[in-house]
Amino acid sequence: MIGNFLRRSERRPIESYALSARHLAIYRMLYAAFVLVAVVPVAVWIPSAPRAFFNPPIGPAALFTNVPPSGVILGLNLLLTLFAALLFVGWRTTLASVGTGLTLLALDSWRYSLGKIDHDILLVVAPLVLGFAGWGRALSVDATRRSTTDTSEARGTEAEAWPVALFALLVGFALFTSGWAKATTGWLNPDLKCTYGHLATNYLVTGRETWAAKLALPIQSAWFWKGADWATVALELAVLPAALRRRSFCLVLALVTIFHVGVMLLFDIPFRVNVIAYGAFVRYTDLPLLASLGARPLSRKGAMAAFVAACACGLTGTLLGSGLVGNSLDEVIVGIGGLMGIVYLLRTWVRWCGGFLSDRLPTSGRLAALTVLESRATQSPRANPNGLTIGGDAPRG
Amino acid sequence: MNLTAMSDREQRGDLMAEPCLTPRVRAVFAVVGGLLAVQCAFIHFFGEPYPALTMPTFSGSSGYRDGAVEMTQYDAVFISAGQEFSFTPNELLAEFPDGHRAAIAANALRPTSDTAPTPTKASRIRRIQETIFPGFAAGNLSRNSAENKASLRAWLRGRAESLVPGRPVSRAEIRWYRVAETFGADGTRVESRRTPGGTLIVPLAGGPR
Repeated sequence: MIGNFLRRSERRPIESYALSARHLAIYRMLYAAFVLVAVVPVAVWIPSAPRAFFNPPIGPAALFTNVPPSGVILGLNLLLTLFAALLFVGWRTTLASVGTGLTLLALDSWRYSLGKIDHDILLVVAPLVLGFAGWGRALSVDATRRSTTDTSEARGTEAEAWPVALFALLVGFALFTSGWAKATTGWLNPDLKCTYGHLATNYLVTGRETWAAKLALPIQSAWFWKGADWATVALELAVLPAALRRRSFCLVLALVTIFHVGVMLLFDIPFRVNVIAYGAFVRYTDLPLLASLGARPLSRKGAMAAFVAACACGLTGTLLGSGLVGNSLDEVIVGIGGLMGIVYLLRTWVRWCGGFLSDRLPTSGRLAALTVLESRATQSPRANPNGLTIGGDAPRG
Repeated sequence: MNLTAMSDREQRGDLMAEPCLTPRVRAVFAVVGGLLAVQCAFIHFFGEPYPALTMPTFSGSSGYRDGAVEMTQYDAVFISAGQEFSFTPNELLAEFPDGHRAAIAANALRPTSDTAPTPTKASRIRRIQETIFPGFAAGNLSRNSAENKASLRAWLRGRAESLVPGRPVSRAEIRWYRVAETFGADGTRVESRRTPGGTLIVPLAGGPR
């Protein structure tokens, strides 16, 4: 009995992350597109740094004693473009995922070899973990090839739950480290105004003069700023325990996306990579525009055209030296993340209110509501491909 | 499979018929958990490596306390025939992304006396570390090496040619200041005090180019 209980409590957190391969496939394409248009090329300025500036932390770059020649960085960027393009169309997806992650890791090791680390590690971790979740089982060349050789329908419709759960745990841990560092360096101290201090120095010393900071700085309420300190610490610490269940994790992530919008407006620091990482937990085919995406296998011609276009994006960005769009989409990405967070919170709230009311409806009313739900499910089975969410309590992103 | 004919529990049970928690998966979670614990200990004792699963800390109050903040800043000054040409950090390090400029300056452009490591007998851990990671913090730890000094001089010569074109620059001075800013109740700057904080002098005339 105790064994059963332990097994169940061990399985449930992971099972809560079960989702259709189509959701992850759409995320795979979004991730690869982001890498190709906004990340490539990485560290092209590194070869111009003198040896005196070479100051890497412990890691791959510290195996060397100087910055690499420009040919190495160019070669790695071309390799990253190739892997990301393969990932975009889902051609040898697992290999492309690992290749993308490792190439990005190598380039970032050089990028941070002058002593500054930008903490965008989730962009490296995502393909290395989700590559094993089966995000190439839909919307991919791999899926098309398999559908011609494998007649069984069972394989290919579901993603593996454990890599998604593992990725949630890693996201939670990463944010936890930030919250822990704050909690142990004065953010909980009632005498210190840490958010205010960072805001004032960021505005007046670093020179990031945002309109939101201009509005916020005159606020002198100690409770307001201490509240901001405590709320920040609580939110960042909460992500890790929340990762034990998908529903709680998505709720906290929705709050975190809104927090990122606040940080961007006040500090002009857009955490674009984090928002892209959180995208792994969105159920894309529940969104109206994407409901039918991935239902049909990818055509060979379409895949080839997409691959060529993806390569062209990466190569153009590399030749330009600053990427196709560079950082110009940062605000848009963080803004969309925040908007989706608000929509998710509102939807959850409405659903809770609905559940609360339906519990109090007379039996005839409940039966009518069930009939409506059932008829909806019969009319549009494609909207719920895995059947997890019809009138049940299964989590949705 | 008729989705509507099955209860939610049955549907979920059907999806989960294949066990998702195999011994291999358990091992993956255990290894990842162990690695994260090792990472925490490593950061505590040796500082942050790359790669590491961390987020920016924004620790403390960024030097702010009771309406005042203290920090260090610097100006880059090129001297040509007794005339001084002063540049901001952003102008000096324009070829590098702005997020990296403060770290570069802190590691490579501080007055030498601030950062020059005192020659002590290297510990065993340090020797192992130097063998495996010969480049670790090289800019800082080997700051006074001939190669590093020569590379800095060559780079500053290049910057002098770009920033002060057509003038023979005899030396570059990185002048550091300690700055104390005091803010008013409405968050505006009330007072700013600068006191000298040392100078890095790099002769650029003569020597190998």
